[in-house]
Amino acid sequence: MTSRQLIIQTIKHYWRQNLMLALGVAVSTAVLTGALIVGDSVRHSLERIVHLRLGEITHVISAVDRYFSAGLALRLEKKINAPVAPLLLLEGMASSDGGKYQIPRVQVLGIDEKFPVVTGSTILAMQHSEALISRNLAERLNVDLNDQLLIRIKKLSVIPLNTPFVSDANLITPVTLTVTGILADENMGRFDLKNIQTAPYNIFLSLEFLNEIMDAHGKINHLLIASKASSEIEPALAQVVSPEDMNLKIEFNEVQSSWEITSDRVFIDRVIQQTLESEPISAESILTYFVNTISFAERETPYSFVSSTAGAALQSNEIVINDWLAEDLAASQGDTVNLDYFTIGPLRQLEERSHPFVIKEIVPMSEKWADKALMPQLPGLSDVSNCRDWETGIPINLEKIRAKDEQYWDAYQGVPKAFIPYGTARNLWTNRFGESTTLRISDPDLSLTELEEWISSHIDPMQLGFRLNDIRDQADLAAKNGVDFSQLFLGLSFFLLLSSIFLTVLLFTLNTRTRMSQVGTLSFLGLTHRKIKFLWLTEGMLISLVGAIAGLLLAIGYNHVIFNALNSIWSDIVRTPTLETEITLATLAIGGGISIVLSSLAIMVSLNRLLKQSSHHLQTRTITQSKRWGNAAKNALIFLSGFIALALVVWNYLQTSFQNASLLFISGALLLISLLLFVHQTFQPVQDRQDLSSFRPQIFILRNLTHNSRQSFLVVSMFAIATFIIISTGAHRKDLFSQAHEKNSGTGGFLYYGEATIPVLIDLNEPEIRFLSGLEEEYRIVQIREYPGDDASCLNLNRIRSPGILGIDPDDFSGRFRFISKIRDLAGENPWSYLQSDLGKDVIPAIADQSVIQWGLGLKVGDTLQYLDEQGEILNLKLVGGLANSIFQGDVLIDAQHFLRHFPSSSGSNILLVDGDPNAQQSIGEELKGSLRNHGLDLQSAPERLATFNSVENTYLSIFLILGGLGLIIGTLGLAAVLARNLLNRRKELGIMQATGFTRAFILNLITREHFYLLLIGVGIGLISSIVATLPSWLNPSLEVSPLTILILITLIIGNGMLWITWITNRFLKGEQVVGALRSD
Amino acid sequence: MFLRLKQISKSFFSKGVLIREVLSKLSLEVEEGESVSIVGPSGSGKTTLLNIIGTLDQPNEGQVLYKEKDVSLFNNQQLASFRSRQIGFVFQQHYLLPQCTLWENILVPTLPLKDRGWKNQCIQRGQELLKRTGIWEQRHQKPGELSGGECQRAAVVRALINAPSLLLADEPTGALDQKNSDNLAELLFEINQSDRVTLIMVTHNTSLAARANKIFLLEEGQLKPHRGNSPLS
Repeated sequence: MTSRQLIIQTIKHYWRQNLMLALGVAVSTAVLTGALIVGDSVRHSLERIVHLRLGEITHVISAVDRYFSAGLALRLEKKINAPVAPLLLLEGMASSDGGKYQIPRVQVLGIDEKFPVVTGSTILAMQHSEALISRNLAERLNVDLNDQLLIRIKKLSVIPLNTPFVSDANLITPVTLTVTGILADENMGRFDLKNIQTAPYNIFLSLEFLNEIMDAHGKINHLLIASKASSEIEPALAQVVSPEDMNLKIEFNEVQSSWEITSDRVFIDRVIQQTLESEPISAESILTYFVNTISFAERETPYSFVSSTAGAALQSNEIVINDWLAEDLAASQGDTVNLDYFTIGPLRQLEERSHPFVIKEIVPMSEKWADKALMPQLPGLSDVSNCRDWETGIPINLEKIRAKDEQYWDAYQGVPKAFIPYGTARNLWTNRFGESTTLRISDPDLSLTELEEWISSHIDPMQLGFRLNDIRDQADLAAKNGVDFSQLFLGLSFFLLLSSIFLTVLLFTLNTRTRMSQVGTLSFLGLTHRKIKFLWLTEGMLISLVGAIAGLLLAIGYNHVIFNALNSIWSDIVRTPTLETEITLATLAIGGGISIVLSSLAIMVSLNRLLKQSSHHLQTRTITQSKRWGNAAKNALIFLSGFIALALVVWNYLQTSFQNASLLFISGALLLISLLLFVHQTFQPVQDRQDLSSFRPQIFILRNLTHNSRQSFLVVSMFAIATFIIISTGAHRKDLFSQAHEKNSGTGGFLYYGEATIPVLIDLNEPEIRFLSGLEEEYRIVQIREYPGDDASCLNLNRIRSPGILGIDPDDFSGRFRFISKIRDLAGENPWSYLQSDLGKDVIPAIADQSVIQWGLGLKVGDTLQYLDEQGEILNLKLVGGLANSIFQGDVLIDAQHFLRHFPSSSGSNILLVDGDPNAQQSIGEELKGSLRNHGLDLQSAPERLATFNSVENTYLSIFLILGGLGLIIGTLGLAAVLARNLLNRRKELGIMQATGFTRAFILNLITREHFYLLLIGVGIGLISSIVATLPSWLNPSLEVSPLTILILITLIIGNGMLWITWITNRFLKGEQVVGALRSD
Repeated sequence: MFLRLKQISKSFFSKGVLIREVLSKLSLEVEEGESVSIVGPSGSGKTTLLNIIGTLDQPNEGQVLYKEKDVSLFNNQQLASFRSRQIGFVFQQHYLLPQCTLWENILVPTLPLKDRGWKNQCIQRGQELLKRTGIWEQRHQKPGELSGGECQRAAVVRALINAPSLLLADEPTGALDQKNSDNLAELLFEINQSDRVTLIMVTHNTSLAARANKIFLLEEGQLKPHRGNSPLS
């Protein structure tokens, strides 16, 4: 007999036990490896999606709310010697079948022949009115090749939409297109510059055609680059960017004998103005404004342009008027005239102001006083032939316009009628878009080329909002560092893994104990402990190996099941049906290897403990419990962990009113440890020296429990941990719609959350506007500005660095939502008002959803997020508060004033919150949708939006519960194994009981109670600890915890355990084994 | 008659096929207070017979009459009660529970007793028996800490604690050395005589068997009167 033969014979002989052991190892291998495969597969899928949405694109140049010339692409391409494609990316709404199918927020992409080059795709060129659309859009719109669809595109406006005097009419351009191609994901159907795994709805048009319907020429807003030379791009851009790309127009003014620079954006960017004002150019800044009335005494002249001038030495309150105006007002030098004008606040809130001026001089309408070039190019104003056709962003009272005003317009158009000092003009009319409309350079020697080159070389395009984004690296990084599903599923499968390891240890311990007399025999026969350990360990490892191999096969199946679920019933957490399985040998090796090591360790520990017994004890099968820990040390640990748990609970209550959920979970876990240690201590066999007056069943049961203390403890631990995890999870499960209309809930008490494709430029709460817009229901609309960024909500699996920024009015949020964490300064009646605080240069307080801060960004309250603002300056958003589970997942909230200071070009509001009577929710929704139809309003009920986010968490909890439930089944198998082994080991004991008159029912009762107590103790400890861990859910009325769910879970756990206990015991006692056990012949 | 076995037959089957007939129309009559030894070769069915007498097993044919009552008519509850009140078992191994002390082991048969008065009497009897058997001082020790003889004496006390009228002993000295074997035999017959407990004992030990009032040889499924000094197999 060789060692090999002995091992093989032993494995064969105890094949049933070994099969169970292998099964335990197989389950742990499957869970571990399965989780790793899921992680690999999600990562692989995200990386694949990056390639699908970007192709070969490595960098993107864009500009904040700014359009530049398509020619820049060619210039840059030559400079960097790499493909550069121009892209005009606009937003729109698509519909088909007469409006039956509608999709808001589609991407309208104007591309040229460079696009397939830079993306590595095979997109075909399109003619006018032809479109290529993504497959998902075709499916949603139910259109096929050659079908027609209607898109309404957000109008391309070089002028920021909220610029004073710019009309907000005609913000949408409708166009009917013929579908000439449906793009698969692999052929740029998923093209998207945002870091998200969900597919956008795309419509590709020819760039030329898109420009044509937008009434623009060669305008784009993105450059797509495929180049590995990252560092060369930004300097190259600075060299090739032209004044035209900065929306500047340079013309020589013959009247003034000077170069005049104006902007397509009406107001000249401050950066440009400041650069050109300085030496050596020393440009003169001119600000021309449209005033409502110029009046003197009883006379008034309506709607006139007034310009600043440096041509006459004027005091700040002095004015020069032309003779036409002087005659009209019958005013003379020295008289005081009043200028009435509008200042335009956010959302076009108009305030009419008045300023008096003393007439310094009356000038003739000639030469520099009759310069038409001073009138800014305002669409709807400067380009119409008569005053009655004016279409401005301010109300025009046409009745005030007289015949002579029309005659003036016919003769001189918008030639300013009055001139004031530039300083005064700037003080009165400066706005966030700029403080000059013309820059005048009086240097006749300067050539146009020189001036253009000087501007190009001295103005950094980054300061104008140009951004170079190494989009490929960022996307790869976001995908690689996205939600780690390996960790996630290891976490979610934690209990399942723990249970299977417990089961392995338990089964091996039971097996070795059954055979422990063999160890004694082998020792007596002269085998060293080392040799015995080798034999048993080899046997154990062989079984583990078989189990691990089976586990790897199971892991592939487990992964398959998980992926099917993720692509279907659990799709809430991945939001894409395109996940692909990625199985690598390395992952299988790691999973299998770790599992074998874990099970071998478990086996070795059990074996070591066993071999510490003396040979005599082993042969007589009497185990002595070694006391590794002294009682004092164990008691100290019990007390300490219990005390810390309690102290943390009290501290948490006093400091945060139970807001810190993580800390409470730690308290619960510590209490669990303390109670389990207490049970471990209680289960130690004690020498009872008392003369019992009677022997009660309870004492008998206690003797049995303490006799097999390790097994009893393992079973109790397993059920305690199972209950702790399952109840904690169940209690955190969110009721998706409960109390959703409360102000302190995640909806803030708002009825709707709306996203407009076309920003709303007006204040929808103004009675007049409401009347004109047909908004009759009683409700309030909170309008929020948006600086777009990546979605940092739990719906995005990628790791995000720059979430979108929302500009809010803190007063609108007073008393709404609930903070889960906040800095100390945020205390007070209205913590939202802290957003208006000044925290120093370029530091702005910000609030975000706690889940965005913690999980989306990997930060904490007090940390800072860095952005580049519109002027290219670093903007630090200091996170001062974290909201509890709100509708604002995905974005960061700052004060609207701060927002406008840093993103002045932002026009209107894209996000609308509706506050009204919940009973009228439906009619409010219908009215708003109807009224804002042209804005492509996507109106979602706020509770539903919150429910969408909560459903992600609930899905995770569901997975956790399901996998926890599987773990519980494994745990129950452990209990069943312990019970079966107990019964087998105690056959003679049961025989004696029967022989001395115990009825079967009594024995059943004893055995059942014995194991029921284990079950009850385990569940009890788990329940108490889990209640502590989830105290906020029990104490806070706004967080629903369902006692019924808990009761059902507890009943299921106990019922499941009891079923096994009763069934196995009953089945055992029904057999004849008991009598057989007592046979001696 | 205290105990009467009438035409007892017991056969063992495997999947419906007869493997072996162990007892064949066996009859036995035992008076109250008698001591009976049953000897026989290994596998002759001694333990089976003892289990049938102790109602742990049922015969295929025949009747077991205890004080002229047919125990085969008892239901499970009555059988358990019968064993509890009337029968004490002693086996070759002591089968003491390692998790319990000696005293607790002795009290195990009192666990299902509901009559508190009777339970107290049993406990008192247990204490007396412990003292009588000389293991009173060891009562707080666990079986693992005691000798085989002490454990077997404890097993006898356990069998007697409920004051049974019939003591069934299956190779009671089989696992003991000579000295302990003699001591245990002394104890069993002393109890048989002093407490008038009927003793039926299965043994290979001829000298032990010879101390009984009656000796039977179990052979070919039948009990035959036997002289104590005759060879058994």
